[in-house]
Amino acid sequence: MSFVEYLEKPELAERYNKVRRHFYLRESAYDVTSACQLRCEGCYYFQGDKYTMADQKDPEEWRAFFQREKERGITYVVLAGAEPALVPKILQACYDAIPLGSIASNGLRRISPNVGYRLHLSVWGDSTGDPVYRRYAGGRPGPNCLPTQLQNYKDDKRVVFVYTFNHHNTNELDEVLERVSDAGHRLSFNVFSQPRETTSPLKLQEMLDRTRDKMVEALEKYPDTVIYSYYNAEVHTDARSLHQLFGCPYPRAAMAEGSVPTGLSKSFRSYRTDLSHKEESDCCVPDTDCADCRHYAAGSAIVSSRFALHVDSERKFRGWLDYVDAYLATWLIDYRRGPNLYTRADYLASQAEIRESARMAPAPPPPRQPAQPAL
Amino acid sequence: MSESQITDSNVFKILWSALEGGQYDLESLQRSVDRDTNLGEILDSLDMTDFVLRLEHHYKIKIAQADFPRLSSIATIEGYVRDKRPALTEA
Repeated sequence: MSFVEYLEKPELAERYNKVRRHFYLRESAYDVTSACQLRCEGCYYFQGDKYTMADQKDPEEWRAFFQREKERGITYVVLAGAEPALVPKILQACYDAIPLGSIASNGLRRISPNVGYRLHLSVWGDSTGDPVYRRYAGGRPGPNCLPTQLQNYKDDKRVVFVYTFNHHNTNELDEVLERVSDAGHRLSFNVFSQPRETTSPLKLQEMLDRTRDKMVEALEKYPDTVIYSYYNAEVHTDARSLHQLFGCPYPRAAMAEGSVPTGLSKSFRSYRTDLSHKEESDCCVPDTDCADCRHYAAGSAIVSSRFALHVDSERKFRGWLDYVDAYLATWLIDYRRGPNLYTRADYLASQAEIRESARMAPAPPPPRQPAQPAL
Repeated sequence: MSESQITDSNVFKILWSALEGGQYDLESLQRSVDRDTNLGEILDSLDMTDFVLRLEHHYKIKIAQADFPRLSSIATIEGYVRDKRPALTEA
């Protein structure tokens, strides 16, 4: 069967037409301040030289800058490093110019309801783990962020909690998910992705299978809370990174590979706090090791843009539709995702094929991995 | 649409079917796009992929990703399909 024949099935055509209305989104990412109360293990912002830039602090300079970004064709902003909630006037200036976007925040300070962006509040573990994985800037154990986040954002429909799985915190999800669900919020998943030239104790390594099982358990137990699909779980916990599975459309990767820029590669930029950007780091997670990249924001662009790699079977196409549907629900406030088209049976069949393929493959030489450093 | 004819009007029909239901003002595009319009300046890369998949299905050809730059306009697509399926041009 071909793509055209898949679309003869009403449920696939309906979902395809639903997601494709959003193909117009043109995103770029912006670090808006170098300030943050916390230092999270492996935080992408405090890697490389980004955090050494001098901050542009004048909201009017930012306002003019975002107006230029709008004129460049950007229709969706991702405001990330270091902690955007600490610069409310810059957030407002951005929202006034480009009204679609999201903010990645630790949730310790409330963002004005006048900024109508999607808010991604990061959660790193339960009350025992969260203070360990992310410390205060001075080095002492951090706060347990979740109670403050829930208090700051009670009944706030802008919010999606983003739980980052790491090597140690798989079972810590239970406490978090129960509290988020009880509060009527939504939650999606991220997977810790190691920065370049580092060896983090949070790198998942042999925990990928366990993480995938936990994701699937969560999405089945909390279908109204968890914004994730079976296919999301599959591709974000594959032994290969997203880059290895699908290639990568971000300018950083496209430039490294010498490929012809198309789509996202032509328009995406990752701006620093001084309003500069460098093509070699234009990526939603600059300084992340591409060979370990399973980051949720990277996946949203990588998997969604790899439409052509998902049409050689109906099952893959259904997986892609679910992925894009979940991605849009995670990143757009008013978007509601539909039921999974890539079912549990598809997921199990795919996992069986992956296991069989691994069994048939010639045995690789034993990996030489450094010992897991202590946290 | 007959598979045995490669004409710009057939390629246009495939293009419009690819864009139906998407982000575009189709009526406006139908007035402004001609056979030499650079499609890369109009279509999103995902919509371009949709269009290419429909061309593959209709003309029963395989279009490699590396060939996408050759598919810049209706005119060049017509030429590309003719190269791939020369027998069809005789119909």
